[in-house]
Amino acid sequence: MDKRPTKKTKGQAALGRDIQAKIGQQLRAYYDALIEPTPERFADLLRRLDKPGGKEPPE
Amino acid sequence: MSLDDTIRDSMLAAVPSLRAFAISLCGNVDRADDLVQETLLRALANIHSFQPGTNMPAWLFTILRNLFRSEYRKRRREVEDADGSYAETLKTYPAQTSHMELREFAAALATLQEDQREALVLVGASGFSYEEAAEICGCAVGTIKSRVNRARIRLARLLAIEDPSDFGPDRATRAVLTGDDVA
Repeated sequence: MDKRPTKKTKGQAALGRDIQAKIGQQLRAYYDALIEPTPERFADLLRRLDKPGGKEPPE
Repeated sequence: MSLDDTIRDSMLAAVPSLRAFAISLCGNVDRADDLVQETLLRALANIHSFQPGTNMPAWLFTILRNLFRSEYRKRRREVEDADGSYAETLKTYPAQTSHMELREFAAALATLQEDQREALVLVGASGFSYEEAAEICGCAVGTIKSRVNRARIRLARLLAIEDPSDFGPDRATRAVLTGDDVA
């Protein structure tokens, strides 16, 4: 495993915990807002392709 | 070959997060849906190479990321539309984070280098470990850590997150600059 210390240049100083926490919280909020139940088209796709003959799903 | 129910269920269970990842990569919901669909097709075609009991989400994320890299990135990313496109997806949002904050965040995220953005999202939002993210991106764990760190620093600058006490006044200042309503 790479145990070398992280090279810290001027622009790359570690961020404080509060700032990291704030970014983490905003990132999760951003991502969570994109989460929707699986669109039916994908469930359909998997059902249809399950059968090698390409049988269409019942309407 | 008939698809095992367990495998199909685990694929479907991964779709919501896979889709969110795709949107954060390409900044466009329609394109992200195409990407997810292509990923599922590719996964089904190669299902024999998936080891049951191993990490289905990581496998699908790897396929999606590679597809994005090889095909979708050829098209120019619609950075200028990232804010509007993301805003359209915002039907609900957590009470602690304002709508405007989320849109600002999405716009800032869109300006990150692709390497950094994907690393940050995989680790900070999709719920993968640094090790899993390294496998998905085909790079060393140390590389992922460094990309995540650089992504956070860049975001902190873009969003002017300097200190917790800055949030109040700074938000108002930014609102004036961007012409958004504070209230």
